[in-house]
Amino acid sequence: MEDTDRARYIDGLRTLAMPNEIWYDATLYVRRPGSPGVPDRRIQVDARTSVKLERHGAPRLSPTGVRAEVERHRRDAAKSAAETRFRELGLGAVMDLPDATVTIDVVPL
Amino acid sequence: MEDTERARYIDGLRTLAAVLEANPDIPLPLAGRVSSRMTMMFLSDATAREQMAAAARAFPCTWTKRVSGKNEEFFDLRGTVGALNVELTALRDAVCERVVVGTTEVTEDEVVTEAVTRPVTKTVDVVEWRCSPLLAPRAAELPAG
Repeated sequence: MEDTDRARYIDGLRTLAMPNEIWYDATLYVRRPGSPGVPDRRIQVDARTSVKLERHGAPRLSPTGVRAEVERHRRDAAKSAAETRFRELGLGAVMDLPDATVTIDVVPL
Repeated sequence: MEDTERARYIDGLRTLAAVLEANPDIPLPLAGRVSSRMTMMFLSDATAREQMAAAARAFPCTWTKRVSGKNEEFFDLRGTVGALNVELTALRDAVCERVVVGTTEVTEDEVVTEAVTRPVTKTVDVVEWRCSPLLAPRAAELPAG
């Protein structure tokens, strides 16, 4: 077995042991473009929430790069869940402002 | 299996991964590689299908189906997580529907005369295994005196 297979075997053990729930801390940033000579401005600062993901629904993946793909998928799912949560918190009007740039950062807790 | 034992098993997996990663000279376990698989069994008739489906969704891998057992009594899903071979197994009649779609003729061996045996006496070696403590130095490595 090659070293790469060894690393993948160890990844497999960790995947097998993964917790069934993963919590993410999500932060919402909304910016609107500035005028010429005026930088973009943030109009909503640090709206934060936490979202929980279940392991169910993990994507079908090729055996290679499983961990990175799973983490990317979960971040995307966490962002989607966080956007729903922010809208439930009444921030939809701000997020949908014309020309607004919406960014949601998620960090595993 | 109680939750505490489950938690300890999962801790064991994490510890095993950490030890293997930190000690490249330790060979990988046979479990889960080559022809071996980490097998999870779903033996509840009432909920085996649902539990197996939920487990299949939880694992980030592609599954292949097969039937196994002397009488093909098991239904298996096989996949690979990283380089770890995993298998989900249930009794086939718990997750599959048996449908008669036709008939065919087969030939079987029928026992006509039972095998005849008799007791015989042989001389065989009497053996004991002497294994010195593995972590202790060998006798040749001990300081003289």
